[in-house]
Amino acid sequence: MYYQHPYKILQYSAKNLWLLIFPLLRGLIALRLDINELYLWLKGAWFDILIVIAILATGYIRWRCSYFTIGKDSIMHQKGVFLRTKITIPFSEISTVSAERKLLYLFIQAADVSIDTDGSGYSRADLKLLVKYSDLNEMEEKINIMNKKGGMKYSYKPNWWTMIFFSVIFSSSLSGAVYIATVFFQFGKIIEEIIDRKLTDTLNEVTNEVAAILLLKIPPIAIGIALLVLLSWVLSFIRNIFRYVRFKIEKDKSSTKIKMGIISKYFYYLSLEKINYIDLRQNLVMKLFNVMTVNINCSGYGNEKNEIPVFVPIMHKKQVSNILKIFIEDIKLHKSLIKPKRTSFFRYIWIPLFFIIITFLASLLMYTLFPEISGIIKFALIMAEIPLVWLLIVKFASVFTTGFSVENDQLCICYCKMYAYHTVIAKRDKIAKIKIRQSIWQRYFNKCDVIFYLNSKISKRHIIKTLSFSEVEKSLGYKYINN
Amino acid sequence: MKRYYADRTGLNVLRLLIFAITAMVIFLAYRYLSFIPIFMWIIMLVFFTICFFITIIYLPLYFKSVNYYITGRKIIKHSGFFYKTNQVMRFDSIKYTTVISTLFSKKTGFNFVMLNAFGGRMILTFLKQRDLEEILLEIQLYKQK
Repeated sequence: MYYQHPYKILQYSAKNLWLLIFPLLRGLIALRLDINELYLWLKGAWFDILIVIAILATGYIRWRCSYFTIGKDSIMHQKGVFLRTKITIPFSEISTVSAERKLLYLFIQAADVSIDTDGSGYSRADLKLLVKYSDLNEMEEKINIMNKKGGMKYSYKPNWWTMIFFSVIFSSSLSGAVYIATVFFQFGKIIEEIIDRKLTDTLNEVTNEVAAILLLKIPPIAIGIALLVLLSWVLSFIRNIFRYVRFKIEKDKSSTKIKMGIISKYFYYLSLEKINYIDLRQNLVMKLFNVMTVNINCSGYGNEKNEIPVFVPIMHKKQVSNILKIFIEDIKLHKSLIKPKRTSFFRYIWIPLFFIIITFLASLLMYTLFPEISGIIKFALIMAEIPLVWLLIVKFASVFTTGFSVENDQLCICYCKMYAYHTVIAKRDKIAKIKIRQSIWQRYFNKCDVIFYLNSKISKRHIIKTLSFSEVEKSLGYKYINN
Repeated sequence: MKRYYADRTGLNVLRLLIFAITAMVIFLAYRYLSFIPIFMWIIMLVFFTICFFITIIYLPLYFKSVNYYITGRKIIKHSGFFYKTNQVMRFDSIKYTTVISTLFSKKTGFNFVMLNAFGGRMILTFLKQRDLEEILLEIQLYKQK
C-alpha cells in the first residue's frame, strides 16, 4: 500500500488557505520579540489559527484516506473519507501512463502520474496521483507498458531546430491569450487590477511610440491589439518550446515511451495496440514543402488543455512512411481512391467566400455611415479579410487532396478542417461508425458526404464532402457495410 | 445464473433520510413562514407530495425493478418500471471499475459500481456488499484469463 506524496495535503487543503496564512504571517512579522505581544496577537488571531489548523487537518485526513496499491495485474486507488471511491484498472487495459515532473516537484521528489484507459467518455485521466519518485520507480517495475528492462528497440530524436519550427507553427495567439487570462484569474482580482492598469499604461505608451515611428494612419488601438496578439503568440511559443524541446520517442516490443520538456519534464508510456488512429497534419505552407507532423489518437496522450498529441514533430513525407513502419507496424500511407470531382469545388469554398463578401459589404456600409473613423474601418477590413482569403485558398487546394480509401483492412481519410489538412490512417477494426449524408441537391446529382467516426475517447467526425454516391456505395456498401 | 437485486435496506435508509429532510423543511416552513400562510402551505404541500411520491411510489418500484445477472462473458442490467431498460455489457469491453460506497455501506447497502467501457458505462446501484464482491471477482477472473 502506498500513500501519495505528502505535498498532496496542501493540494487537498482548501484552495484559499493562503488568504488566512498571509494576514497571520503579516501579524507575526510585525511582532517584536516580546512574550506579551505574542500573547496579544494570539488573543486576536486565535480563530484564524484554528481555521488554518482545521483546513490543514482536513487535508491530512483526506491524504491519509487516499492510497493506492500496485498488484500483480492491476492498480487500485482508494480515496474519500465519508464517500469512498475505489478505482481498479487492470494493466492490460491501460492505454497511456504519463508522468509529469514540474520544477517544484524536482525539489520535493514528486511526480504527477496519470493513468488512462479507453473507458468512459471524458477527456480527463481515469486515475491521477501525486507520487514520490521511489513509488514511480516501483510503478515502472510493475506496470508492463512502463517496464523497459528489455531495452529499447528503436529510438528517434528530432533536431532542436525541428522542434523550434514545430513550436512556431503550433503556437497560437488564442491559446496564449487564454494563458494570460488564466494567469490573471489565478493571481486574484487585486493583482489582476494592478497588472491590468500597468499593462494598459505600458501598452498605451508602446502603441503611441510605434504609431509615431511608423507614421502611418493606423490608429493606436489597432496597433495595441496587434501587439497584444503578438505578445500572446510569443507566450504560447515560449510555452511550446519549454514543453516540446528535447522530444524523444523510444519503442520496445509493445509500447512506446515519449520524453519531452526542459524545465518540467514529461514522460508518456503508450500501449501500441491502444493507438486508435494516426493523424498526419499539414497546413498549406507545410503541404507546399511536403512536410508534416504526425499526431496520434491514444486515450490519455495529448488530451489535456494546450497539449498536442504529437508523435513525430516535423518530417518530410518520405521519412514519415519509414518512421511509421518502425513504430507502428502494418500502417502504410496510400493514395486516396475515391475523390470528389473538381467541378464540385464550390461546396468547399462557399463558406469563406460568403464571409469575404459579407465582411467587405459590412465595411463599405460602415465607411459610408462613419467616414470619420475610416482608418479603423480600413484596418479592420484588411485584418478580417487576410485570414478569410487564406482560408479560401486552403479550401480550394483541399479539393485536390480530399478523399478516402479502404485497402488491406486499413482506412485512409484525407480531408481539410479549417486551416489544417488531415490524413487519418486507422485499422479497419477501429471504425466505430460510418455515416453517409445526402441533401436533396446531392440526391439529384448522385453525390454524398461521408462521415467517419473512429474509436476515440472523445468522439470526432472526419467529414469528406461531395463524393460520388455510387463510388462510395461500391467501396463501402459491398466491401464494408455488408461484411 | 445468479440474479442480483438491489439491497432493500438501502430503500428503507433512503426513505428515512427523505422523511427526515421533509419533516425538517415542513417544520422550518411552519416556524418561519407562518406570517405568509399561503406561501407556507404551498411549500409544505409541495415537499409532502414530493416525499410521498418518492418514498411510497418511485423508490419501491425502482428497487423492485432493478436487477442484474451474469451470463458467461457478459453482465445484464434490467431496470425501470414505466420504461423498461435492458443494458448488456461484455466483460471484455470493461476497461476499469469504480466502486463508490458510503460509511456503514455494509449495513445500509449504499454500494455502487461503475463499469467503464469504451463509449459508455453501466452503473450498478444499491448492491449488497457480498453481491458487489462477487461481481467484481467475476470480472477480475475474466480479465486474468
